[in-house]
Amino acid sequence: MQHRKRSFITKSDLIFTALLALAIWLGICWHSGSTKYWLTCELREEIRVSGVVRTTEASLPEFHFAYSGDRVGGGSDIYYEKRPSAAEYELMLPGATVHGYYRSGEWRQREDNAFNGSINLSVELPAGWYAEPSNYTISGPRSDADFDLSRETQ
Amino acid sequence: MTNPAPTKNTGTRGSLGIFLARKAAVAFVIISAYVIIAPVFLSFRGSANSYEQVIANVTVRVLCESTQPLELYLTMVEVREDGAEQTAARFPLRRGEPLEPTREQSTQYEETFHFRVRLDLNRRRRKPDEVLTDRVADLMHKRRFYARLWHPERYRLQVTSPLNIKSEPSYYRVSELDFWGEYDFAVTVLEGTQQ
Repeated sequence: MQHRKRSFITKSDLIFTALLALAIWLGICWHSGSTKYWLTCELREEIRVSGVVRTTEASLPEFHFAYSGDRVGGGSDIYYEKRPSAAEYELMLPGATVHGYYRSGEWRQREDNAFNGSINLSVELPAGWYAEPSNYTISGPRSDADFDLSRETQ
Repeated sequence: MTNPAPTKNTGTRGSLGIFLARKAAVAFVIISAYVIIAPVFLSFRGSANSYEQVIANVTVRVLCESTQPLELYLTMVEVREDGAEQTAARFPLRRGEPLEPTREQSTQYEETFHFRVRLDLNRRRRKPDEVLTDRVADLMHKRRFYARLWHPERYRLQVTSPLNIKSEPSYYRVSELDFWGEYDFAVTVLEGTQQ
């Protein structure tokens, strides 16, 4: 009797493979979907700093505020009432922040990135100018900081 | 060309043990392949963008009937449908600093804080494009998560303390905060037991 060689993979194996692969893929979809949405919340204290930048020279130079080494953008956070020799400003600086995130049905705290120290505020000026005082240390929720600008005398 | 009459190929069929052994071998191969492939499906590295959010820049004024600064927290609390409360975020209000009385000879103190309050529903996003797995995952979960997670109306902003205090009002709803709103809490310390 001739013995016909049976193929290595049968049709039944192929169907089983397809169904199993589909089942596992749907499982992966379910798993990835279950971690796809999550909640976070944030309470960030904003520190309001206001004051006057003034000079006895003919006009104010272009200046930027810098805090804790990071720069506060070129004017977008600054509310000027600008006169030639003085500019009133108001800044909102990011203070301490607490984060919460939601995982497996409950809220957890993430306080590692909370910043609770004081903020160092200074004015960045073009060469040849200096500010008096050179910087302010801000620790309260509301602060006043006035700067007097002068040209360096040769 | 003469073909002999084909004999029915029984192969290995007929033996349940061998049938199952074959399926187990196939399953082993497929699962092994997925162990290698799955991290590719699951690597949702990329930006996590805010899908829905509540943001407010509020000014919180705390008025205390007290002669010394109290240990107070601004707290965001979730109140579930069953009444269970959970602290979502807790911010320690400044402690140990001298306070200015609101009036001469007054025992009432006032502190003003500015806060940015955020509540976000985030959605992990695969870069640069979504694959079919993402879309099927969305179909499976989107409504469910939306219904389960996104309830900003359940969140409250309130002042809490380890001391036994009472604040008036006791809370503001986070979903009803005005963007530049100003909110006052009048805090009184209740005598007696500490909580």
